[in-house]
Amino acid sequence: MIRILVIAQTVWREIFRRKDLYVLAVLLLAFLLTLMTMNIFGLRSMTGYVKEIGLLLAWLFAWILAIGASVRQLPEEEKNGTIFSMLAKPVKRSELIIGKWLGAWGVVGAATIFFYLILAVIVRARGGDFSLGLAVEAWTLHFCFIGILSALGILFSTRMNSDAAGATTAVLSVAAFLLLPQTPYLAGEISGWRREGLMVIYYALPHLELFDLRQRLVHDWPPMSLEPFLMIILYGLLMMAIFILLGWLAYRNKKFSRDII
Amino acid sequence: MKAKFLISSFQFRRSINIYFIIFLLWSLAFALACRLTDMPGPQKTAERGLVAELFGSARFEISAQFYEQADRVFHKGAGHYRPAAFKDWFVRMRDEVSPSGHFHLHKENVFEIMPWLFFATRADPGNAEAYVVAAYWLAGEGGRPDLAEQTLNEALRNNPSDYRIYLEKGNLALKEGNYRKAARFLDAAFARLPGPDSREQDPEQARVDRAEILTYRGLLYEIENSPENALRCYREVARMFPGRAQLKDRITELEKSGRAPSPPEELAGILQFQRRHVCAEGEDK
Repeated sequence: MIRILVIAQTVWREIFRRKDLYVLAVLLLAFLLTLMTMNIFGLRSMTGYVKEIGLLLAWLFAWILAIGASVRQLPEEEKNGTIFSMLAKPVKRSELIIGKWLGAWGVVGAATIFFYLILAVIVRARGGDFSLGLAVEAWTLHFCFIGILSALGILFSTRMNSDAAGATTAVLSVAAFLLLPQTPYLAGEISGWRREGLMVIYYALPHLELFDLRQRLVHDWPPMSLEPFLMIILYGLLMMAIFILLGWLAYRNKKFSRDII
Repeated sequence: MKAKFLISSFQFRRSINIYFIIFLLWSLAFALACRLTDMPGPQKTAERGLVAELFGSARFEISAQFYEQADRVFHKGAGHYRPAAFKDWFVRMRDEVSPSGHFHLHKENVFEIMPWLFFATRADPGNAEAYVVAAYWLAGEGGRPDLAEQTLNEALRNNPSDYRIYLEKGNLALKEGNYRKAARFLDAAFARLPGPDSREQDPEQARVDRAEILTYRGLLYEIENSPENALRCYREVARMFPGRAQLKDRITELEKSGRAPSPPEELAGILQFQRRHVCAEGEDK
């Protein structure tokens, strides 16, 4: 466990040294401040659109960060040759994968808290409401979403270089987020092998839309009931476990060649 | 000495020639640029702007999406109801996550839709529907007829031949009790109604709007003590929509005695109040 945490800590340090996090935070702030200064048909009191766009940007930036942070961990180690010294120590490949994943997940989750805080301060400053309980619920599910995304990125990076893994993770996650919620309605309009194929995709891909509580937060709905909230978190943990397990299976017998590197 | 003078004068002339050639080339380039560049003429502002340059025709779709978003915000984030082909665990969990039900925003909360309508008009200044809806809510539940007027003035600048803007201006004036102004704008709206073969607007909606214009214009004629003109308008509406029994009663009363039992100002107020949205809270959308 200590080794896992040490590996995670190195991931944290590496990501904090890079500029991505700070650039995205500054971008978010700049966007939100621009939105606040807009004169909309002579009105200035609205906050709903600030919340909606702010949350959309927070999700988008967290998406980019999670994929970027997770897909380069293993390929960078292999490219730099540090994988050999690391595995020569008594660090198992499973510990390496879990450590990298926890590091990427943790730092992006922390960045997301920061994004939410920026948004909450700006909305409150404008006189809007930002329910704390609902925000915590929304962030928790968002955190699970980032965990799944990081696990998926780690999985693909075990066998692909960082660019390919990043592209694959991005395409799959976006397709899952956009297509799966529409499937129950599309399935009624098609039949035959198309429907079967759609259902295979529906059950194979992770249902990332379950972690999206933005509409509730934007429109001040009451928080979710506890039971479905916990069930969705359990589903998220299950998805993460499956992807990390698949990643370990893909990585445990992988041969590294110094010549290729 | 003479040689030096000759050399230096030659160099001087050469440098003059170079500058002259450069000047000639610059003039040629300037003239060519003027010839090739489209000079801004008296075009509609709806056709120009950064958004139009960046997105081209995609801005119409972007504007439509912003308008849809305004509708979603008005319904507090709940999407349109659609029956699902199956209901598994994922669908049930999604129903728990997403807001559901049929609710509307009220009073000053209705201002929350304004940013999205604003973005829709910025993406496509020709989106008259977005302007009209914004003005409707600003003047109605929002309680800001002044801002509604400003919005419609901007809409007119960008869409000088769209009848819907004039119709909404007429409605606004009617609501404020400014009957002369209302009559002027309703006449302008009537003059700009699309023909039956026009593809620019929904023909059924145009037909309903035509009836609305004629109804209000008829009431204004009554206020002006011109029952013959009022009857002319009402008969046209009755011909288009024969099922309007109350209108037929009013026509009968006007023909009989020259005035209807309910004052036109009162009826105009009632009709304005009845201009509600197309769905009601609580029903499946």
